[in-house]
Amino acid sequence: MSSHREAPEISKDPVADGTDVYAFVSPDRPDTVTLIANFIPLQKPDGGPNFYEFGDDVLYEIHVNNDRRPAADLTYQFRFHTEVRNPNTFLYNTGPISDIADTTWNRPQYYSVTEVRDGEKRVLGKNLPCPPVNVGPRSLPDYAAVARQAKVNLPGGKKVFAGQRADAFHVDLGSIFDLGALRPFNEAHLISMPEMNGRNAVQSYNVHTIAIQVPIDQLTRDGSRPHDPMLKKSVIGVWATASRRKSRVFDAASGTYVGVGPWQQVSRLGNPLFNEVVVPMASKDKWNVEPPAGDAAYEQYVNHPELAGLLPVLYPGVFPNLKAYDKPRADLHAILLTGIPTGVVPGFQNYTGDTPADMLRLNVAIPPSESPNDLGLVAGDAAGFPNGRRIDDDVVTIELRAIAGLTIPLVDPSFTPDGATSAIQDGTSNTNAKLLNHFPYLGLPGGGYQTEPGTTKAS
Amino acid sequence: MNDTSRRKFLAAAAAGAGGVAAGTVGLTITSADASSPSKRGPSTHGKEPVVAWIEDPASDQLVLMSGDREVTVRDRDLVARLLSATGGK
Repeated sequence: MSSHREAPEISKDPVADGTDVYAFVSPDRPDTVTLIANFIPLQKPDGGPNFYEFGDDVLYEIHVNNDRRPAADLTYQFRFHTEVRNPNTFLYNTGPISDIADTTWNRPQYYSVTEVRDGEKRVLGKNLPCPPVNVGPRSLPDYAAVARQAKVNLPGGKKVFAGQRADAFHVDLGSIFDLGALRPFNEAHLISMPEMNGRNAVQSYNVHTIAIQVPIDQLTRDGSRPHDPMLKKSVIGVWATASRRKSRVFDAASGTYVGVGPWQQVSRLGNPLFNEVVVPMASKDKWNVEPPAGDAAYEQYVNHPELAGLLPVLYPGVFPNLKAYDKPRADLHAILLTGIPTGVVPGFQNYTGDTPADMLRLNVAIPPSESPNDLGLVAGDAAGFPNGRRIDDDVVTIELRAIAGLTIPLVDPSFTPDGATSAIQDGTSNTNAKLLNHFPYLGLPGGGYQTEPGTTKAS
Repeated sequence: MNDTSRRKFLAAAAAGAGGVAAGTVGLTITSADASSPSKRGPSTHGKEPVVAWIEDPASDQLVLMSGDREVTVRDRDLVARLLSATGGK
């Protein structure tokens, strides 16, 4: 998945597990950028009575770089706290919740937002309400109305939301992790099976979303809103992290863990799938605790990605040109680690300097597309991935095709991609909840009562 | 480290996670606060739990964590005393 359960250690700590990061110029407010970080993967909507919530003991952060050196120049920090209104019931809610302040919600969660700009902290909001999770129609007869109350305006034209949403990522997990199979190309696989349509494994699951919408002139280095994509200052880098206290002691008196010590980063996410399919398993946990500025250590896995070597093996005879290509993958290096420099794609760049660092790179001078193409830049839509990442962007297909060699000619015109490269897909489409056309854009979370059981087939 | 401060520290460490933070004047060699680098040592207010971490018992290094801070102390004698107090080898 993009980054759901992508590393051994963080897969055991879902509350701190970052799943997706998005950064895009807001289509309905093009003078702003929307930054979204999702956490807590694969939430089955009926997973009560202790439903999903942010960790009160986790520091969630969205980082922005704007000076072409891959360190955070601007960070938005989010800290949560949970209250129990009635300690004498096991219920999440003791009656219908029609308003976000209803006392029938027994376990409300609140949060603070702090901006750290060049090291200076400023609290933007405190005791901001999260919405309840979507328990079901009896508990939340108008979930959309209650969730809307959790959209908060912050000083300076910013907006923020933190709470449960439907996951918007789509991918055929069951097939891809079964020896790299793509159901539409099953017959061509080394272990051949009948071809079939892809299955979106994520469509029935929720995540917890942190979204903040920020005027562009508050994100750029010089406080301007650039309109020329070729200017250096038009590009920002974005990534998200989660941190825990360095030590944890179980306090038997309260039955809870107590965190002590400085915050220690335990999860990191910039480009989708970077840690998931580029970094080898033995290095994934280490990658998660490091800053992007240290990603030179992982350059080798970008320059010679394991998956590019596997494709010709898994699909014999399908990728002869890719199999023969043994040069370092300068195309992937640019897309994932430095941004695309001027001169590669006419009229576009999102270069942030030559220090390799995994960040989403967004050129804020590129306006939202009037006709978005979910294949983004490789399909001629410069407002999409890898220029930042929109919620609708089909990053699985884009990255599969890029790894298979589709983007090599951008930097090495002598290479001809194999015929199958531009057809690669996992066969899924966005069958998740309908997206909103306004902040926070992600669709409403699936309801617990509405949940339908999945498969139990073992063979 | 002088004997007075060492005794204060040992008293606090022996109190464990439910104990009282030590006044660790003179102990700090390095300190860290992940969100904003700080030169402060552990709290001197005596209200926060303290966790002591000796990663390598053969070394002279001890890390003290309290609140959102940590300090690294280098004192082989102190490490040895703590190991002895815990019955460690």
